[in-house]
Amino acid sequence: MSCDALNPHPEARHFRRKPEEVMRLARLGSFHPTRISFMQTLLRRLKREGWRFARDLWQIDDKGVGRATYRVVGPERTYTLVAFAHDLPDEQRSDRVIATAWDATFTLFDGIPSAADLDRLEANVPKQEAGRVSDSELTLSRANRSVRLFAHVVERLAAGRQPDRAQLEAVGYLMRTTAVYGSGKFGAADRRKIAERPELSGPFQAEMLSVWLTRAFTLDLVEHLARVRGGDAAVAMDPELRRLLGVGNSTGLGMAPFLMNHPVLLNNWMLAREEALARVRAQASASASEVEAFRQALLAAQKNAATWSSEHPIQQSKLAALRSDLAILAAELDGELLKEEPYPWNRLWLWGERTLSLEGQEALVSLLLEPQGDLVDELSQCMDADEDAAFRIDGSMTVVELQAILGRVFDWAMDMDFSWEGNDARFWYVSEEKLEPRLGERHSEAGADLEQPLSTGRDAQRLSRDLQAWSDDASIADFLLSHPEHRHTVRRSQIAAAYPFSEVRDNLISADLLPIDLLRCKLSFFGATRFDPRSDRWVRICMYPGAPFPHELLEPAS
Amino acid sequence: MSDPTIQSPLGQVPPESVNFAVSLAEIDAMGMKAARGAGYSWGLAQEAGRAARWLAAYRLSGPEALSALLAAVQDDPSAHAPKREAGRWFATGGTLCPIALGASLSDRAKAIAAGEDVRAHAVLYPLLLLPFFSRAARDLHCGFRLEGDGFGLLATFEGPSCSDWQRLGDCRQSDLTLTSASARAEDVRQHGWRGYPIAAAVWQDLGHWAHRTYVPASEASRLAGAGAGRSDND
Repeated sequence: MSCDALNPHPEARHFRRKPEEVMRLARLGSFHPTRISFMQTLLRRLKREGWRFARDLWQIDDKGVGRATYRVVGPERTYTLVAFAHDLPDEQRSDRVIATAWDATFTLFDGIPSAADLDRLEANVPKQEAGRVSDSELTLSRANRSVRLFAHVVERLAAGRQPDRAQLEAVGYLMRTTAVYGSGKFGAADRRKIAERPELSGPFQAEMLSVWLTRAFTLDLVEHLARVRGGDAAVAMDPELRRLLGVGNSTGLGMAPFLMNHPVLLNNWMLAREEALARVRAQASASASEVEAFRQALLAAQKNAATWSSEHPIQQSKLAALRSDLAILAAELDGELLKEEPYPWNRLWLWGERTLSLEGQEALVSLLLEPQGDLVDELSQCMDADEDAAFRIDGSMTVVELQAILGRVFDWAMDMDFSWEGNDARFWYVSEEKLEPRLGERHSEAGADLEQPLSTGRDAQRLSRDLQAWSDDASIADFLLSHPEHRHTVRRSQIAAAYPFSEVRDNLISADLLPIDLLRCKLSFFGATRFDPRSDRWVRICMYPGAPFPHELLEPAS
Repeated sequence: MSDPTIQSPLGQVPPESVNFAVSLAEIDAMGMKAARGAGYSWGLAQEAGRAARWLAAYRLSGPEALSALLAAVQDDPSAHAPKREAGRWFATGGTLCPIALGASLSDRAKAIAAGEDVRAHAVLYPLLLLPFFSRAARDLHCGFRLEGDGFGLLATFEGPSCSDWQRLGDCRQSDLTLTSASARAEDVRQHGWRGYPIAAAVWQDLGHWAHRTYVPASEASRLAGAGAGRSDND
């Protein structure tokens, strides 16, 4: 949905950044989670609405094999995470999507599963892509252990000792998910089933709930195995140390085309975030409590940046810039920056734009939103999308009108020389082996004839050139009758005219493309932290570190 | 938009079952890939997936009709692409593709709603046209009437109704007229979200077309294409 109906802040409009400034890969690849990211939104709702929690089933044997269920009960509906734990030989443990066995597999059941449901799920969920779930299930996912940290924690707890804090912080999770499928994949319920439910209407709320409950399972499993090994000598983990741990995630290219394939959704995510920033900048004054909350958020960000590590050279230099930026910001706060009125937050923002790296600027967005829940949290309600409503092409548009849109949205591509190899170096395709999106080298690999329609800038240029042969007042309906090959680009362009943040304004087939920029953008909206690229197209993240556990946030369910 | 990351259970149809259920999202993704594999442009392939999904949501045999259509156009959809002369639509190959015709009529929906008459000759599987003018009726808050060989369809912003759903579903080819309609539809069909039961053979037929859109892996692409290749254990 659009934010406009919810928007009682017309004054914020003047403070909005422009799409051509924001929708650049280098900036999108510097995003940090905010308080309207999907994990944060989910936990606020569960708390606010008084959801309840129970672990109903724990049938895990001494080898850590078996099944468990985690149930959350809301005002209207109940959801249950069904977990299957497996005994996976080390040599089979792979985070690649091509893996066929995992340490644990999961599904989020819509309601309370019967014994027959559990048996049906046990026959399918451990197989993941090779199995089938039904429209009673909302997600399908799996996770692998961090072998090193898992063994360390079991060993320590079994011996009656607490694990080493530095090791917990360095790895950040006991298990990492390697895929969390939702929205109708592998027979699971279509998005439409849950789209009208307030608790799941926001993007990826079912997936985020599934991961949050998975986190509780990973801690329960490690403590279970410590008790098996240590018997009476074993201890539970200190609640404060427990909190440090999130769920890891390993994400490859499969996720990258999502943003281009869901332009209306991307627009609504971006628009909510940009509107939130604009509302904060439009505040005439800053209260003492807001300033203090900002300082606390900055301290937390500095702490996070200090323990956030990466072996990848690109991320290492970004991290160095971020730490430096946050230090400069902290020093500047001690001066006069927030004491000048009116519009102190806007002054701070403009100072940041002049002074900080892209990492620092986008971190500042997250910090500025943090003290302003009353102002921005409602924007989380307008981040879903009715994509079908934007699907139909308006063929009554004229050639000159479409050319104007192309010139506005794809101006960066209109004169780009795509005959130069560096500008059309890559092609997106779907691999036969895993049915997953991949990126190929156009000039050295086979398969470019099967490329996906993600060469947005090049295709926009081709469309514009073919349009030049038509008279200005010709209709797009007539043009498409002669040129069906441009239909997908006409659709993108008309969507971009109505949804200004729907298009990435960079060349997605360039030799310089870093797919991790797309991954980071999407994962930041999820609420993920600790982005750790393992290559230019594969990234590890952490979800829910520091967050409360279900038994801490929620009252017990009967 | 269809999500190419939605995988389809190609080759993983449970061997013991003749019928199994697929989600609407799977139908959308599979329909798009199958149409692309059969030679449609990406934009029209998107329309094909959307149309099959739309019909399945109404418990109408969209996936089956799409599968039959792809077999009928035999890899050459351009021969069945629409041409227009004085309000009459036809294809040089003899029979008209309902996906390409539906897309073109949807593009002209405002003109048709304003009174432009449409007569179409020899349209294959006219059921597949329904999503196009139903969506247009919804978006433009108007109505359209479609008359074919033994059936009449009315699509308004409230949804579709038909004089004989069975006959429409079974129709392989028909001449059609499409006009603007102001009548309120009665017995409007309702859509849902449930998984769609489908014969394994139909799903596999679509899968064969979809398979043509996939790029076979080489050892190099296996490593470079996904960007892994280093150890991911820790």
